[in-house]
Amino acid sequence: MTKAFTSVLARVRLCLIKRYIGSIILLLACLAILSPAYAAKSGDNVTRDLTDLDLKELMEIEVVTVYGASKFEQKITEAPAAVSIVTSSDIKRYGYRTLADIMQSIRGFYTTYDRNYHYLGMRGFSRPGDYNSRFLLLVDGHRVNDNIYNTAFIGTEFPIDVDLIDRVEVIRGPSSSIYGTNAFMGVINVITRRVNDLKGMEVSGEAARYDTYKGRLSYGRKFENGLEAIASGSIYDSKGQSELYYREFDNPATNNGIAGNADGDRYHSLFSTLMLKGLRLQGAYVSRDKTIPTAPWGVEFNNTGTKTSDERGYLDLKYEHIFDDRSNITTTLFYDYYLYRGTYMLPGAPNKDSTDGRWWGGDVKLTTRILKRNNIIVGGEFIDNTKQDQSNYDEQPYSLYLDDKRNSRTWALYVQDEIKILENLILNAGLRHDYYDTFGGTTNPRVALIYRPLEPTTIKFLYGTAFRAPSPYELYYSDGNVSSKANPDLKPETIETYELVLEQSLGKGFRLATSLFFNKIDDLISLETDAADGLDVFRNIERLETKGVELELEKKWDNGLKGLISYTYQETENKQTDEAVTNSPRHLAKANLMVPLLKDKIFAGLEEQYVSKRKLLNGSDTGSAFITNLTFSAQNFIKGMEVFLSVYNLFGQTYEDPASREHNQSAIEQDGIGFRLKMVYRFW
Amino acid sequence: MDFCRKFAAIFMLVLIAAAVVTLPARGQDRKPGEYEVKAVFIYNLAKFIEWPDKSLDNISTLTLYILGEDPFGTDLDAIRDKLIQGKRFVVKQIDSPDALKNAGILFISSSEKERLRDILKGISGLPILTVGDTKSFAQRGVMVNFYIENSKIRFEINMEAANLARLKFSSNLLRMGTIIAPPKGKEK
Repeated sequence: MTKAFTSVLARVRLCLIKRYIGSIILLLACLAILSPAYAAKSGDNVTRDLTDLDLKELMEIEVVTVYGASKFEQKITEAPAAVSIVTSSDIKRYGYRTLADIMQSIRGFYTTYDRNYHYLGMRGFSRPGDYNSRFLLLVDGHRVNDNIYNTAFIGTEFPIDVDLIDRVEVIRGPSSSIYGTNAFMGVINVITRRVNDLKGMEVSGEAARYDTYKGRLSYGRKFENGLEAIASGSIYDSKGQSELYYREFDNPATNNGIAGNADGDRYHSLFSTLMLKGLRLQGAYVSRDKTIPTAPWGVEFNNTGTKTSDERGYLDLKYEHIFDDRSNITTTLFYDYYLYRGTYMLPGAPNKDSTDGRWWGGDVKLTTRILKRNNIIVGGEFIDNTKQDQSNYDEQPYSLYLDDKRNSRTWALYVQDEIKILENLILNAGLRHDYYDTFGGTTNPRVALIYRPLEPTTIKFLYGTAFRAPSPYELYYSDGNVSSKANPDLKPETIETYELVLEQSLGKGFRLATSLFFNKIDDLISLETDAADGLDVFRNIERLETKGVELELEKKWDNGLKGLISYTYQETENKQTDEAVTNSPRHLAKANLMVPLLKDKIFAGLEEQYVSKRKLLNGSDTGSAFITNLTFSAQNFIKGMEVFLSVYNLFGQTYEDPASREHNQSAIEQDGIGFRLKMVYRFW
Repeated sequence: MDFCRKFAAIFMLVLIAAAVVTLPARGQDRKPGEYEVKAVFIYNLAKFIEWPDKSLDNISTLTLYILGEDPFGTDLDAIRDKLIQGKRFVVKQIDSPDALKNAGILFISSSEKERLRDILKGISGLPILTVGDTKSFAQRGVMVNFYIENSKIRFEINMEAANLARLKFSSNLLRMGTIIAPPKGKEK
């Protein structure tokens, strides 16, 4: 550790620990006051109720495990990270429409929408315009980030319909030690529903404000020979807001700042899984078109021709062989593609921006417990990017600015060992080496010490580093040196994190989770303007430091009532300039409450989200936002039918998200009050 | 100061939410742990199983034997002494299958995977329901083997092993589990 780093730590420590302890005391105090029976011994009531359940009901109870943190199923308290899980019932009962909605509900996360893509933020870091490349997005273990921008698609361009999700595991902190690039801020592992939950035909239809319609047809079946098959297709079409006002364009030449019918969004997607014994074949496909109303990159305002279209698909073949109860080997073979077409209606000449990414690869992973008290994973990965092409041209008159054709290869080896040192002390250590034929090799460790001094208490000490390889977009994109140029010499950016996690079961159904974290990001790849030629270029320039604390309190009742509140305080600073960072709220607070209004029939899901002000590129800031969403769901009135009614932004609060630098707007206004009616029907 | 006001505002929110969450505190409320559910599962399983004639006649208890490291701990308290098929449910921790005296239920902990073959050999033919929660136990001859799929508890049934012990599984139980046919002549 360098001297500078130590002094920073010392400075951080005082302020942070004060706040951390203060917050915990406050929370505990309010618990003690509000729950007089707090000290009473718990358990008897629960188990008595459990024994009243029959087998079928027992099979519906969720015992919480997480896969994505260590690449094997483990208890959340034993995972080498602070983990959150969102289940299919949360998705239904809170009316989540996209993965972005889901992420927005999770402690410490916030999203930003520029009416084209959704951007994800966590622990004080969010870069609109980075296509979420600092998060690794997995679907059933398959890497979804593409090979040109490394986009983690979380909006309507996410390939999987949220109705098909069984649960979303969110693993905070770096996981490059098992996943390599992009596992920088965190990992999102989406796990899809299995045939046991999706038997027969399921039809879903929904209608929402702004002429938004969605339909889905899914089918699942388990055949006599053990074959499990799931197939699903979805269609979505939204006109979007018919008029959007942007004061930056408020003059007669640009329709007084009103963009008409320029917010359209439509997609169709397909998803299928076949499973037989240890073999699994999965395919996903999505194609989305979004009209862009904000006139970025200097295009004509109020011209509905400016749009992006994203197409993403993959096939993933996985085989698991179990040697015995101690060892198994998993091999995967995949083929992926990503096509992007952007049409930008620049004055005089429509400009086309396009990319064509194709890649295939495979991995082998061996998990073994042959050594007592050790759970060892050894794995290797190989990816061949056969195509990473980018082009940019004016259509009429034709003028070519960029025609960059690339291909590259990467491979990686990793090892992880979970050692039960004592019955209540686990050491989880991992190391991974990645090799890129562009910049060479990088090695990243993660060490977690997980201590359980008492049955209800878990303490985790976490340390890790991660990297993000520069994407082909950052390395090679230029518009023919008109306004931007390439920088093939970029290095990976790196992060180093320290985290202290306390997970405490308080009895009476209360669970408290807290984290104290310190992140150090180095060589952050950022766009800057080269003073010499005035061209925009990506460089490894910024150094950021984030320190913060997270608190979450959860309570569950067996009758289905459950509540969750969380608060995050974070400070991110640019160490070059000692300035606060853009789009980095100091405070995030969330509260979720699910109330069964009529047992097993009607539920209300209430959600409150607070994001404090965020700094904008022009130095000013957005106001804070306080959003309320409410969903009613009804089931078991007609066999197989479920009905959902949601109101989003219930109080019609006007709020804005920070915009990235290609926009004239410094902030982009979000939707006001919204409604959605959704019906699902199952045939057996 | 703006910062203090915000901080206070958020903690008000937290307090209010905590109040909302806490006030209707009524008994039954803890999220059950994996082995808590499994314990009740085993107790419930027994309701769906018919032991062969007379094997339970002379005893007033139905015993669940835990062989090897006990993963349940206090989670078994809920089912202790409950009545099942007119018999009192008893739990005993044992170190060797030789301790098995009567008909009953044997939970084989994953710590016993190395000696599973010997254990099963030692009780072969006896009217004992074997239960486990370790990968491949069902294939290796354990009658009911738990596994977790998408966070929910599921179980495999080895029918051949059940038939050998002359235990009858109800059709309802068979419908809920996954039936495994052991690979014949390949017993490891």
